[in-house]
Amino acid sequence: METVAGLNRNASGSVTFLGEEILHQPPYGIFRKGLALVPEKREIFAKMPVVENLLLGAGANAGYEKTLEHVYSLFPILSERKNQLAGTLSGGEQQMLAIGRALMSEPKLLILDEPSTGLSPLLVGQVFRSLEQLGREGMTILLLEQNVRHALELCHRGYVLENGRIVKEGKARDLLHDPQIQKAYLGF
Amino acid sequence: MLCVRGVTKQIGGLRAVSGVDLDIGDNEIVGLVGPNGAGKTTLLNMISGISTPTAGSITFCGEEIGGLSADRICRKGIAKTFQIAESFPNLSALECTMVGALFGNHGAAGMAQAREEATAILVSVGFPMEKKDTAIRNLNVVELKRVQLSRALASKPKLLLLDELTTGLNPKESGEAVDLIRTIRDMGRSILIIEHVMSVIMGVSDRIVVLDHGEKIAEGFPYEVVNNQRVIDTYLGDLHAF
Ligand SMILES: Nc1ncnc2c1ncn2[C@@H]1O[C@H](COP(=O)(O)OP(=O)(O)OP(=O)(O)O)[C@@H](O)[C@H]1O
Ligand SMILES: [Mg+2]
Repeated sequence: METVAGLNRNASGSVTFLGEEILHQPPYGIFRKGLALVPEKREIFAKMPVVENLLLGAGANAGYEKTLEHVYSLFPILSERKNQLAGTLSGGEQQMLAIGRALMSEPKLLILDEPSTGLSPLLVGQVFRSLEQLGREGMTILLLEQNVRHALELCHRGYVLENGRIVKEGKARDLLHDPQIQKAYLGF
Repeated sequence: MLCVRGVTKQIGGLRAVSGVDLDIGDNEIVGLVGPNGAGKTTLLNMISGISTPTAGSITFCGEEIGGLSADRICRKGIAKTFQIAESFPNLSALECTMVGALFGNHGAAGMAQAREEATAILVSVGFPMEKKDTAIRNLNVVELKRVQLSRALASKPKLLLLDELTTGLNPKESGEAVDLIRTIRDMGRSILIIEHVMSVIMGVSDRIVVLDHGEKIAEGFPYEVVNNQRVIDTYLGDLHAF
């Protein structure tokens, strides 16, 4: 996913986004075309306040003020702590910030690398429901999750990547009931 | 073994931890859960000496340790893994574990012994040994967690504090982690574990303590706590991420 987002310089092959080759474009160029990433390691700007982290994510979104309100309604704690330095947030609060920052540009394609990491069960439920909602409103979402069951319940289609190769793909519903996947990932 | 009384941490205008009592017995595994920002990491930081309590007392094996520095507390036998891993980015996985072996409770006699101990511990926690010489900054999240656990174990603690160690593992790997944590306890250690993955918390904890807004709101056997309405409302929600 880092390669798709332009963070991996020495990849080969081809990645087209909205009909255009993006493999060797810089990450900021890909971001401006409408692709936003929630990185696995969060990569928030620790020495900057919460609100500045969010505004950095807005990119060219002219309606960013409304989006900011939406992010705050999704994660009210970020609004309460808008002036707190991001590096002093709790682990789960930093995860909310990473998700919120990616939403700020209202991307056409949102890639989330393990968004449920560090969130309370209550918030995992909320985030997954929000993703469902964003999907219904027309956002395309690529979700990487170890929370396999909930991910497959949410998505339309899924791919299984093992040791760098796609080993299976199909309708999420079929994958959820695939005995091999249940054994390998769901701990049955 | 550990006895926490009325511990409080004030950060500016925020009372991150407020008058918390907590006990951990010999060979006991206690789970610590609560909403994001409840004060769990802050509490562990005070027990391990990373930060100083504003008020209250922390005794370990009968001795007051509240406010002692982290290195002294580590030598007394408390080791911790970190939720947000950032220690020693340029050391290899093996070297990082050796730091624990050399430093800890009964420090290794020399580099050779430390290397031997560190290697055995990395193997025991399932670290992929072909990466033992890889720099910490180039490891993935799961590998990092295993190095963190190895480093903590290498200091031979009596009490192990685990802050979201199994986060990022898939359900099958979490199941393996549950077995690993039980094995560590069976080696004669007490464990205080923070985790949002309920299958892990339910699988390992003898007792669960719940914090919310810095205060203890519930405590009891796992099945009691997950059926507590206040815990369901503030923490678990209706979609249990089991
Ligand atoms: N230096 C600081 N300045 C302001 N607020 C702080 C500071 N350090 C911590 N906090 C706040 O204290 C609260 C408790 O943080 P803590 O890390 O203990 O939460 P937690 O229970 O571990 O949460 P999580 O489950 O998300 O890891 C959080 O709301 C955090 O933002
Ligand atoms: Mg924490």
